[in-house]
Amino acid sequence: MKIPLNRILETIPPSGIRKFFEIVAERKDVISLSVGEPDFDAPWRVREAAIAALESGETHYTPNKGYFELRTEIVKYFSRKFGVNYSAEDEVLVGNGASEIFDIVVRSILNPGDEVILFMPSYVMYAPLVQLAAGVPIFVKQISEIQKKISPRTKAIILGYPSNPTGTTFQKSELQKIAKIAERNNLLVISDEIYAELTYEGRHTTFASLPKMKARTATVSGFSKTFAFTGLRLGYLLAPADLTAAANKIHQYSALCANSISQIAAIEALRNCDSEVEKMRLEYKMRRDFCVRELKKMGFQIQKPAGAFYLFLNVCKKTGLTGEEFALELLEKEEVAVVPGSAFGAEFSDFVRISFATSLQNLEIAFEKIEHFLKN
Amino acid sequence: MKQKLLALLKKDPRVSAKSLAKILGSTEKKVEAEIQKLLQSGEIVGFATVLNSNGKDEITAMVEVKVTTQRGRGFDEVAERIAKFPEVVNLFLISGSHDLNILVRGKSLAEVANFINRKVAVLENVNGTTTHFLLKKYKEDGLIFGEKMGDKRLKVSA
Repeated sequence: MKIPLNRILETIPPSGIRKFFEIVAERKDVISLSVGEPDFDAPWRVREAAIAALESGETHYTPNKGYFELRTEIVKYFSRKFGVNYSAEDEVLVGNGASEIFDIVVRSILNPGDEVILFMPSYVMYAPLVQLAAGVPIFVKQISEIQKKISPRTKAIILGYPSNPTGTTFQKSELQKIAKIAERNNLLVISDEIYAELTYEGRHTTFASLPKMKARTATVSGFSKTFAFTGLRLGYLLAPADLTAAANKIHQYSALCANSISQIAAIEALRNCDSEVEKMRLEYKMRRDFCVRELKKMGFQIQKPAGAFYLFLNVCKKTGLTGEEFALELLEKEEVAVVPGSAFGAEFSDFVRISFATSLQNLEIAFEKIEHFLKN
Repeated sequence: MKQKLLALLKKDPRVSAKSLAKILGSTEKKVEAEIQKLLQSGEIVGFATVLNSNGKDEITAMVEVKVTTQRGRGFDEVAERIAKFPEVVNLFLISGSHDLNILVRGKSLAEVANFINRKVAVLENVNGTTTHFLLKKYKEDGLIFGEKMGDKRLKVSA
């Protein structure tokens, strides 16, 4: 029997990243610049806290919203780092990674046919999750395009900064423009700031810190990038109490609660890992500078990304190859893997995403190989 | 440049000047000159390799030494004298119940014991020694013995 599937799901194409993963996975000895997660393991003190939690039998359900102790630490951390105060009581929700949080936020606000504004290129999960929530993503490339694309059905603007895949971030002045549009049109802003701590130029401005924005902002974040914690799946929402309660309603039925061990590890991360985070940030920054310098030497036009650990590179201008051709040939000839830009939208077929979440040693070899590839 | 260079060399002293130049966005010549300068000023004392001597024919002892200080010279004279022996790998002046903590390495128990008895314990101003023989090394200079390296991640992810 052919199982009749959800109609929306059938319209969503499989992930371009997944397709490329299958090609790369077959090969040995590849230097991968295609990984969207830190190459560091979580700090030992965090892992040790998780081990201790398991040993002491913390293997039960936790409150739906997460342990109160963790929510309290999240609130303290966010205030200390980004200057916005939330109530641990009813404005924080802990979930299984920022992905789950994003999912339940869009499901909490969207009615079928509601529209959301989405910047392109952006992280691969935003558009599909909006569609699965029966919403309609409306794509923009620049802030100046937003107002024109707003309709009576527009419900929210989605931001993700620093950005995966481009590494670019918004300046405060740009965020202020978005804030004005949000206020004028009475829109919610869903702000995915999971890479906030990996900002290399200036300081990260959290959207909710702008005047009057806290009441209309859902900040989505998590532990994966900051604390090299991806596999422990832990994210959180900071939002007004009514939205937090709505998201928690879905969360309590679909996930019940986030992993108890991860939650306890996260408490340790928030309390005692500032220096480890800073060490990782400086290492990424050094790698970023190295990559940009090498690419410029090879004749590519590229700006230093302000955050995250990605470079989004137009390879077509210089090589005449599409991103996909470039990625496949580079893999074939030099065994270096980068992700074709088309994974982030058909319009980005001239680009590749290079991740510098790998050691300087690997980067040095990889860039020598890229240089060799260009010469032939 | 200096701080970054020191951090990179501390992590791996084998990195070539060519690689360092690339990483730091400098030239090979400048990097080499900077390293020379750091060596001459004594900020870099030397480059060492950490060997895994577990299970090898090598005896290491940690020796606590009590010392009578000398007017005007403190602990320096006796410490500097002990430091010159090639058998002494580390030597620290420490606070607490004794004064110097030295790490002695030799080929056999007898060799190490003889060295401590005949060369250290007999020194003028040395009042006593307590020797602890090392049984197994787990970590040295920030490096964990037997730790497995390798990338545990998926090769491609969003």
